[in-house]
Amino acid sequence: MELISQGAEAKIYRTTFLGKPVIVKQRFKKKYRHPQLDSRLITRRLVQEARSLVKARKFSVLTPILYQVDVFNHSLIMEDLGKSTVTLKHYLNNNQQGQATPLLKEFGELISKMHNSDLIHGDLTTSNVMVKKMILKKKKENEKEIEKEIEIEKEKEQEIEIEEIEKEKLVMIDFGLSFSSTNPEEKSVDLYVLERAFLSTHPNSKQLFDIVLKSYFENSNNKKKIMTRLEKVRRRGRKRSMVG
Amino acid sequence: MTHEICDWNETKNESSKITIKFFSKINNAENIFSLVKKGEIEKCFINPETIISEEHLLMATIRARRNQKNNSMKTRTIESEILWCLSPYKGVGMAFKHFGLQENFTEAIVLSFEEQPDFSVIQGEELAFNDSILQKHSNVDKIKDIYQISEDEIQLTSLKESVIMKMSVNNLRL
Repeated sequence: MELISQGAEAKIYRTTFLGKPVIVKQRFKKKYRHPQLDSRLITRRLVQEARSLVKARKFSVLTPILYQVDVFNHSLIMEDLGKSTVTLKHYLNNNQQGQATPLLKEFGELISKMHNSDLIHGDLTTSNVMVKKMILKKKKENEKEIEKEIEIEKEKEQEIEIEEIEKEKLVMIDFGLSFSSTNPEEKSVDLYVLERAFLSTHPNSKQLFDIVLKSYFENSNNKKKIMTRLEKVRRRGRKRSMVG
Repeated sequence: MTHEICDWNETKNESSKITIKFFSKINNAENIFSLVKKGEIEKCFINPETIISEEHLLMATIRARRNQKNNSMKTRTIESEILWCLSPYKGVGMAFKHFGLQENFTEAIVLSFEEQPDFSVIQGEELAFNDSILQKHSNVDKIKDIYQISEDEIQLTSLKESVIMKMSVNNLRL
């Protein structure tokens, strides 16, 4: 078992579980908090994260497979996405903007899928999105292209044309602060958090974020309201005058 | 087949041995039923229609074992706890109904934690317990229905993965 990183709330270990390589995210107690409150908080965050990891998949958002929730140790046992999988933050810092554009578009699409189903991530940053290289098997079913990482089941001895392509796909992680809400305010705040994250971690962040945002609005079910809300939220924030 | 299972934070010495067998063409269902009801068989009998992969059953088993170790089982024995851990429903009754022995069953997956398990009471043909056999004997439509897995979810990855994920968050007690 190897400790690979420690965040503000949790320790991340890499180990094997039932013969598979896994990542274990263990939340630890904060001694400065009142013990009862602390216990409730970590359990709640654990359960919220677990539920959201599963829920996001319903909305076609890829997340790591959640194998187990160890409530006694406040841990999540998840799929190890592999050593070659990096955060979007890392990817953007090491690749040209041109190469990153399709991924940024996909990112916008993913956020809109979550928001369209009222799932607020709560901590949108480029460190919370992983870029995974997958070998996808592509098949055409009823003129729809389905790309999957695993073996495509041969349906009843049909001759299906399967093409293998290597593609980079985005996997969302860290749903500890996620919740459900229909409110456009919450959605615009989610986006604003991402905008600020881009600003503070990447050069030419405005261009990058614009690609994400454009793709988001192209896929959003509530474009107008969220857009106007986002403008309002932007006018708040640090060192901004609330005086009209 | 035998497995040595241990939790993520345990060492190999702390692992438990489990034996899993798949029986088909069972002809003494009634006899087994009554023995199980009397509590005279210390084994877990699982409906093969509902199990899609080895991993599926092992995940539930290890969770049941963890619950037992922490004195936090919802059911009375670890054998019944496995059935509850497989189930997406809060109630124990539903777990037994879907995942446990069915009326006039002819096939069963049998799991034991015993050191020297004796399976002679089951009169049937033993098949290998592996993914390909499980896929042949499972009822995909039933599984999709019990776990309420939509086509979208399956399209994203696979039924196997969707089942594991659904199971991991079921009956999460705060």
